[in-house]
Amino acid sequence: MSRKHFLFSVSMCLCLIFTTSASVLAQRENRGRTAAGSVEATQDLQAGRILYEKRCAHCHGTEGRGDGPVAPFLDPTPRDFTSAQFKIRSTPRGSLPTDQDLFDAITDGLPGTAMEGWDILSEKQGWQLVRYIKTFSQRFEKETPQPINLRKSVSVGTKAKARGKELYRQMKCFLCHGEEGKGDGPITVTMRSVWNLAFDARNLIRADRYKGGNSTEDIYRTISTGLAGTPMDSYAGYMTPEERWYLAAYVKSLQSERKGTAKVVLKSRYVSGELPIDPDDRRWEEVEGFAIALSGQVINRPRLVNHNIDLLEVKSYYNEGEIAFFLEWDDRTETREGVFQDAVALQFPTKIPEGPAKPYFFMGQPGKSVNLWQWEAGRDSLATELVATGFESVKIQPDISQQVNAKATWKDGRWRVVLRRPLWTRERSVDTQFEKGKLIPIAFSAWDGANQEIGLRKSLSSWYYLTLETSRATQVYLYAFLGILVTINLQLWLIRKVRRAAGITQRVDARAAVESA
Amino acid sequence: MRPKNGPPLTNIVHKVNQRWLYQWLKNPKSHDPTAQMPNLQLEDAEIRAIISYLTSIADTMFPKVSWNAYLLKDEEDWSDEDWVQLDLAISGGEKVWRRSRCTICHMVEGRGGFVNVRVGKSLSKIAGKVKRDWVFQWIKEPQSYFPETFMPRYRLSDDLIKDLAVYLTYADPFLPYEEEQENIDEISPSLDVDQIAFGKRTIELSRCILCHDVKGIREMMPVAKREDEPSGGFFGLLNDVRCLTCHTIAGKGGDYAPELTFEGSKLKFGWITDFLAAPDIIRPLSQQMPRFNLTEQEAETAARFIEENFLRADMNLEVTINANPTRSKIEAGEKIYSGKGCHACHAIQGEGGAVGPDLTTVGDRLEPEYIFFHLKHPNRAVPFSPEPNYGLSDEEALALTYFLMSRRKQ
Repeated sequence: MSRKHFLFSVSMCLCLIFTTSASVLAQRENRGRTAAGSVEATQDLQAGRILYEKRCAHCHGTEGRGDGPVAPFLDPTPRDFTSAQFKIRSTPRGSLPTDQDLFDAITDGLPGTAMEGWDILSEKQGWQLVRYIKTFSQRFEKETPQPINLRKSVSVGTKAKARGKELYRQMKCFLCHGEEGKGDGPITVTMRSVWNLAFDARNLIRADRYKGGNSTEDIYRTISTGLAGTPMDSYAGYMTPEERWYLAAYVKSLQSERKGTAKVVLKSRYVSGELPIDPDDRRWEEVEGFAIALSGQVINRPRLVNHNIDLLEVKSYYNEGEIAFFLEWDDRTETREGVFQDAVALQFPTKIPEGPAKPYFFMGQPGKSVNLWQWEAGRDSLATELVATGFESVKIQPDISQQVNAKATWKDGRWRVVLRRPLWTRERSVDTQFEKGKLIPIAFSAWDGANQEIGLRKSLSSWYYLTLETSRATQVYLYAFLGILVTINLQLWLIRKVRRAAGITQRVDARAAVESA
Repeated sequence: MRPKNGPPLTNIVHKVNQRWLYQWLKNPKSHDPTAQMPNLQLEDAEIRAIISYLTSIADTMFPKVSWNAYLLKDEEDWSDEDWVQLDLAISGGEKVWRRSRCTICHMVEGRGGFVNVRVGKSLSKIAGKVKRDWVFQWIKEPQSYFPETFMPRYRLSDDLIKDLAVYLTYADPFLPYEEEQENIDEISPSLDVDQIAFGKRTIELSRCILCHDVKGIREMMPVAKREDEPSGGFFGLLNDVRCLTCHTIAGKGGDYAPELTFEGSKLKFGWITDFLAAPDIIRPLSQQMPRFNLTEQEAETAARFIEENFLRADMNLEVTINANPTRSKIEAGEKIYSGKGCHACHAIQGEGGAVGPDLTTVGDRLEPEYIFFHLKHPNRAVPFSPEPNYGLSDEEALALTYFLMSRRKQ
């Protein structure tokens, strides 16, 4: 063999050895990686399980059936993962949610339900939970859900909204959601009032309550994918994507930012002359009040966990003799008859406290009674005055001491009630006396008859403050200003007088100095 | 999970005439102010399309009834004899109507409808709504059309059902108002494929399936599974005759009629059998049970089940009741009966008050042990009864029991 040939064969052998050993090594490495990968997967699953049992099982149950010990108290009820039916998804009807959908549900939560956004979890923990939750249904092993296209394909300006409004009618959204989106369509009202079914078509105005988010993209997604297991089915089969964007734009335009105030003091404005006693009186639009967030009464039996009324707007005027409160809230149904009626109540401490300690906000306590003004829809223009020292000792005041008048109207899913009473009454031991310039605690309760709310089954708020605005602001400034003027003049006069008495003015001194020089 | 609120719509076009269906879909409350269906604000074209779809899903073969010849002719062509036949049919139907006590559940002309607003709709103007063939099928076998109905199966002969159907479609109380009585045109629905598809789409968008089963329309919410209903024995009867619409057994059922949970201890087997076959008047001032025309065998099956199972455990009798009391004991009881003034509320052979049940044949009806228990503890036997507790001694109660046991049909 020649030298060239020899070298050639050696190098070929070396190449062969090199490539085979490299591939063998690589395989070994790969196997190692796969083994490590599945170890990691198992660890994730374990971690997910531990997290789940610590955070989720109370509501969703240890086997994910939505039957945890807390579940009977919740409305809506927690998701049964074994059914594989998920409401908030980016996938078509009948499909599973994507991992991202599940992750978003865990971290963003579902507003208006007990599923809060779990932002105390790290991102890694969130994904671990997603992995574990998928084990509750075998469908997750067999199917790979494909999200729909969520990119906006049209511009959503005024024309889009107008077209969306037409579609709202054509797709019959109004049947459940109502003409103006208040969740008071004929189907919803009939199911609730005639059939006593908790049929919950969304009030589209309340942006803070959309379960899957309230952006235009979120609305598009819901319309396209549908909420599994509800009458809000997918409309992808009835509208093109463009049409769904138009409809989403329209629905977005219905939203309003109403939510509970962060303020604490309600100012009652002074008027000279008659108080506005009719809810339709224009003067109510000229004064500012605020919106109170109400929650269900869950302190004592009978509890109300699925309260309907969660926002109450209040304003107030007063004059020399009386004080009036204007109360407004959403109620799909007007219930004036029967055992369960629509109602609202104001609560004040009988004795205005000097310091911050107030009677127990839930209807007072022994020794610190509260004065309640309760209006029920069946009694229309009469309200009842009660006194309570705790929710178990509530007494209706005798007839002569009933001095609260009411005027109420219900229209288009909204109650508007004006309650009015003299500022001062003779029954000081039970009635609150409204003094100017003081912070008077005030609390609110409301009942929705159609939801079988009565007695302790109600929505209520904690204490806020009411103050009767005094109108002497300008006079105070005037007197202060005059006082300052007078004082300045007095001082100047005093200085002049002292100088004269000393006999020498500055000018005389200066001339003397010059002349003497 | 709930069953649906309304009846299934698969064969609705066999049940109602189309003009009525049009009016109903346009505005349910125009037919019945207490209608529990919302107004869906449908346009004329949509209503017609819905009717097309409903026509397309109906069974092609609906059982036909062999009516008498005159009923198949136009009224204008009737002879005098035909009118006489109509009168006979109407009066025959009215007799069935009375015996069946339909007004317990159904309101007519503002009267009746006592059980529950959900049970039995008003039958005023029904003649303008339903087709006669359907009425026949309905009365014959209600659950074949609407499995969850509260309506019992009355076991009437075909001839009687025909009379009842004629009564319901020709008698005054059921006729629609004058201005609605003009010729009821059929709205001939187009069976064009596009029209049917449009109807289906309208039904889907209007969410009819929330309350109605509609063939071919997909479900959206979880619906309660229909339990397999029993067909034989006592529970089959209970299901067929719908006793629980009015009666309560073990906490389940309605409260219009007496609770049956302990009636085995209270009532005699023979009496239950006779009563179920042909109900008597027990409490003249109170409700009266309809006549369901149960056969002897059915009545016996029910009575046997009740006797064996519907027992109360708290009678705790400490005396023995002789099955054949002597004459002197019975007379002693009679003295106590008149002495305590029982006839103020109870009647025997036409003499006495009508507050409590008639006692003329109480010996046939009540078990002796129950009579004794009731006399000693009237308010435990019948909660909230107005019967006073006389504080009778065991001897007095026993004598009174012997007297009442002997009140039988001669």
